[in-house]
Amino acid sequence: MLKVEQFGVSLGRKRVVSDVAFTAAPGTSVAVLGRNGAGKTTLIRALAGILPAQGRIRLGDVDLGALAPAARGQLIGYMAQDLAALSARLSVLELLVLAQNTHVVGWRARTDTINAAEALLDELGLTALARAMPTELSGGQRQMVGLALALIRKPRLLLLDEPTSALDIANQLHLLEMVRAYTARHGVVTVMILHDLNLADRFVDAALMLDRGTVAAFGPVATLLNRERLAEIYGIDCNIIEVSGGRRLIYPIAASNG
Amino acid sequence: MAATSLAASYRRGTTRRGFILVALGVACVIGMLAELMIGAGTLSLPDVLHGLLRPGDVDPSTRVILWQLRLPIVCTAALAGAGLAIAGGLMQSALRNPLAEPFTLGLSSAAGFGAALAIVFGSGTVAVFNWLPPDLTIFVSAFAFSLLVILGIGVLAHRQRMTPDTIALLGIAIHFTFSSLLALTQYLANADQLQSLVFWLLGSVQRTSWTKVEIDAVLLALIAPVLLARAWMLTAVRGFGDEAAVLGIKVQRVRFLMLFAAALLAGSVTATVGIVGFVGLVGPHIARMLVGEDQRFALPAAAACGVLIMTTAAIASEIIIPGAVLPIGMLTALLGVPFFLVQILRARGSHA
Repeated sequence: MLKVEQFGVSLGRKRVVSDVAFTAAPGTSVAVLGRNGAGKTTLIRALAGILPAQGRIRLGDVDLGALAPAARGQLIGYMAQDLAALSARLSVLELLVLAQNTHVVGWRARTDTINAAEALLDELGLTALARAMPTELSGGQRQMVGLALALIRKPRLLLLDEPTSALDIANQLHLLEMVRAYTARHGVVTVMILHDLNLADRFVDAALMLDRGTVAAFGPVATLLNRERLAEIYGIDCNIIEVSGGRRLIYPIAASNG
Repeated sequence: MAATSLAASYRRGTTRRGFILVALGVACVIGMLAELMIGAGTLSLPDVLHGLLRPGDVDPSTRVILWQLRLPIVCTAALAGAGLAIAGGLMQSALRNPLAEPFTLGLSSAAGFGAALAIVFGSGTVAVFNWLPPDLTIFVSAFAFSLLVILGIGVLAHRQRMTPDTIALLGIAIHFTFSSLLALTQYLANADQLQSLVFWLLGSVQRTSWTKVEIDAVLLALIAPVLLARAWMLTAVRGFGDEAAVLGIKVQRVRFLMLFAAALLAGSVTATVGIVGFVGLVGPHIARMLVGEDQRFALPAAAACGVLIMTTAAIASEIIIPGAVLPIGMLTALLGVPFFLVQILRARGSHA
């Protein structure tokens, strides 16, 4: 169970995120939705421990804020919109081995870490990219490598910042299927920023709607994604159309002046 | 099948880079031996080897030339090259900035100003150090100023939660501040002081002593093992930047410790040889082109490249004008730039 309470982030003197609270059960995922500048990325980066934050994050019976960084790092996987590591002169395989050996004192990588990197690349269908430098990869390939880096330490809490922004439609579905399968299989909690409302509707369990740094709404995605709410959050007018298989399609018509 | 070949290829990469390190090490030894042979009264290689391994067996004049005159200089050049290149590599990693080096953070100019104070105002003003011989007064004053700068940067960076880019800008501001203060000191100096100050600033491995060699060597011997033991974490901070925090690394603290280690190395080296540019910038770059960014290989390779650049420059400084020794600080860049350009242009062909 992930339990976030009274969570806030200040950048300089500016309060960017305040009083965020939500919960998520193991094996479920939460989409963070909201307009540009609502504080989504800041929230994710603070949850990941990259930005300093106030408030409490509990994962199961562990208080993440009270953990030593090294122990905390074992529990969290993070994928940025554009991961800094992907500009380094380190191959995909080297990055995956590095991410598991950061606290090793001495020369040798733990042998099982090379095998773990191989196994994960195989599982994600990325074996062909193992020897490549991320700078040589396409945006979509880099994003898949970013997911691999987020998963390599077998995290309990997975934080993804727009994981599908550079992917073609097939890979969007592929990546989100993988995330959903991983989340369910390992009882992980996944929190991800998504802009595509239809993908959110289809792949996540709950939605956290942010508006100017505070929670505008939190609840099951099926009930939360409705015309009124979307007009309120995004200022758009949309049709929600029932399609076959019990699915629905969110079809934006026009931006209202909200 | 694919799985086993990946692990094997990872190990092959490690072995290949190991061989590159060994080759660089051999090149360093050859360079240093060549430097020992060259100078007023050339020694043969057998003389040098004999004199090094069995000092009692060679004639006294050879022994004096080797142990009193040449070896301190050769060691100073090697330690300076290694220290500056490691310092540059640490700074480039900590600030994720390919232009970072002891110059860019103002360490070199701070050390220069410290030396200038000691030279121009002598032990009268720098009364704290007047128990030291004059030679070491300059050393201590230069070293103290570079440490002062890094501590100042550390405190400010921590209080203001500075990003690496801001720290680099702060370093540039510090550099210009101390450059101006240095110019002021030069303006206030009399002709004799000015001459020795200018000579100091040009950089030279000739005015060394075993004491300074020992200080530089002890610092390197204390710092290098720590860096190697923690090379994985250094690579993570270099590669992942702020996002290394997710991997459980206290990024701000590690960054400051990297800069502090760099300041200790660069400070003592600059206090010994004066201002020597280029090595701290280019040593790590050549190393990166040869072995990549894994700091287990990149730091030793950078050190070796630094040793090679300094040793080559030291040899050149003695043979360009027979009978005279040019200040080494003038030569490092002149000799290194063509080689560096070739490397850059070649690297652009494969990967940037």
